[in-house]
Amino acid sequence: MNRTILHLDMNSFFASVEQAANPFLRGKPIAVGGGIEKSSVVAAASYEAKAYGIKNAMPTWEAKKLCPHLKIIIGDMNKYIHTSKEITKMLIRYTDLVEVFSIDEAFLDVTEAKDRFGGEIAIAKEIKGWIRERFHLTCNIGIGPNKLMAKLAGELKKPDALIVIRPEDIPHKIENVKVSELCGVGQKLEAYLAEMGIKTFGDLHCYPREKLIKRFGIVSGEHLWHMGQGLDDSPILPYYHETEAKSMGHSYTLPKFTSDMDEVKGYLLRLSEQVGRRLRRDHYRGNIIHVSLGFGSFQFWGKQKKIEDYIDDGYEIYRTAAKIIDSRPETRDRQQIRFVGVSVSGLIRNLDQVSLLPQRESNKMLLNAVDEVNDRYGESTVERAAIMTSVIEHKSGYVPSRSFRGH
Amino acid sequence: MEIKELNQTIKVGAVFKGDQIIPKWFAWEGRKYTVKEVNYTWHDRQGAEDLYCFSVTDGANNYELSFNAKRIVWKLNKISE
Repeated sequence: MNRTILHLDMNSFFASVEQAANPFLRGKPIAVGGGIEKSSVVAAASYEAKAYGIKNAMPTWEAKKLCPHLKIIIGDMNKYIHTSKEITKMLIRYTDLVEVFSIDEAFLDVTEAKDRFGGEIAIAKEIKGWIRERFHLTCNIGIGPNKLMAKLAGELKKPDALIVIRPEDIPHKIENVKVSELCGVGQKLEAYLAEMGIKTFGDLHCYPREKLIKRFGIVSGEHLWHMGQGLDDSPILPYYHETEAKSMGHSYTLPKFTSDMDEVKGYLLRLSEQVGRRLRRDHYRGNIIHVSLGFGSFQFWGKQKKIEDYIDDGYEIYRTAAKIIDSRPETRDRQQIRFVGVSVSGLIRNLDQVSLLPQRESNKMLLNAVDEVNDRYGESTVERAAIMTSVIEHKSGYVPSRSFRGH
Repeated sequence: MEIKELNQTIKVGAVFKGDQIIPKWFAWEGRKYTVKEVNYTWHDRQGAEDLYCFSVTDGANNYELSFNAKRIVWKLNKISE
């Protein structure tokens, strides 16, 4: 049975929300990011900023060089999350087969529902109109016979476009589109394909199946061949379908470079506490702790350690993470650090064993009490004295909880 | 244009209409500001407490207001002038 999939992609989402919220930012080059510090990056640039060559994930200083009058706006995730949730609520009026792909992207399977609403194009127009009316925002909608083609359709022209790729349009309508535009083709794969002379969708479409399998193996080769034919049978994963977490982590880009390991460990403790809080909230425990540090010129170092116990206490996560950092080769010690990350994997859910050690049980009760207070009065209402000490001693060791990035 | 964080408690005149809250004016530092347009609304939380947030303009500047429904407190969070 032929499917009809819609892919919705908000245009320059974070920047557009800020422009909609503040009329004095409209029509101006703005970038949403962490600030003006050297190490911060552009999370989202407005279309006016993109006209100067500013791209997402570009360092702020580089963006400022391209456009000296660029206005940097500190991002407000609550605003974006609220907007995204409201849009999702509206989408499920059409079908419950809505997959929230990211904060600013969603797929809808309207195969069954389209006739009730006058067809897929009528649905797409209605969605675009509602978003414009309610939030003063624009979006791209791509329509295709599967998720791959719907997403590609949405990438063909920006902003505020509605593009349809029908099965009969494949490959001629998209033969000149770069393979890198296909969802799942990253920089490395793009480079491998370029070596084989495959640069466009048309090239991939014509490439012999057996040669792709020979180069990439049976699974990846077959997958690439299907992509080249415009085929994709991956289902919509509805918004109510919960996937089990594989890991939980937080990372932070420091406001300035540092080689002071006490300061780095101050950040690490706060990040570990945040990871512990999320693990407990979602009833997970894990036994693999991973730490990553970032240096200048996009160099990273990372190491993980498997421990015997499954843990969800931030301080226990921190103790293992700190040991990992201390085990770094000495040559790394003098390097200037600008990024710290910690994550916990090897997760299992609902493991709530009663410990025979009284200290452990009382610690669990203490953490539950702290979580209850923070649930009620807001994050960081009660936190470890060690974090507060680092505020006083190191000043920059303190970072507001909202500045941390979780995954 | 400069954006300043304030987080100050203020007086606000608002209309509560159905499930909508529409701020009409606010008083800050001895001056009354008339809300000409509500540009954006969103929802936030502070612990278990709901915050209703508004981005409004008086025609000259843009302001971010929030209403804590549990404490019945209005705040002026940000001003961009």
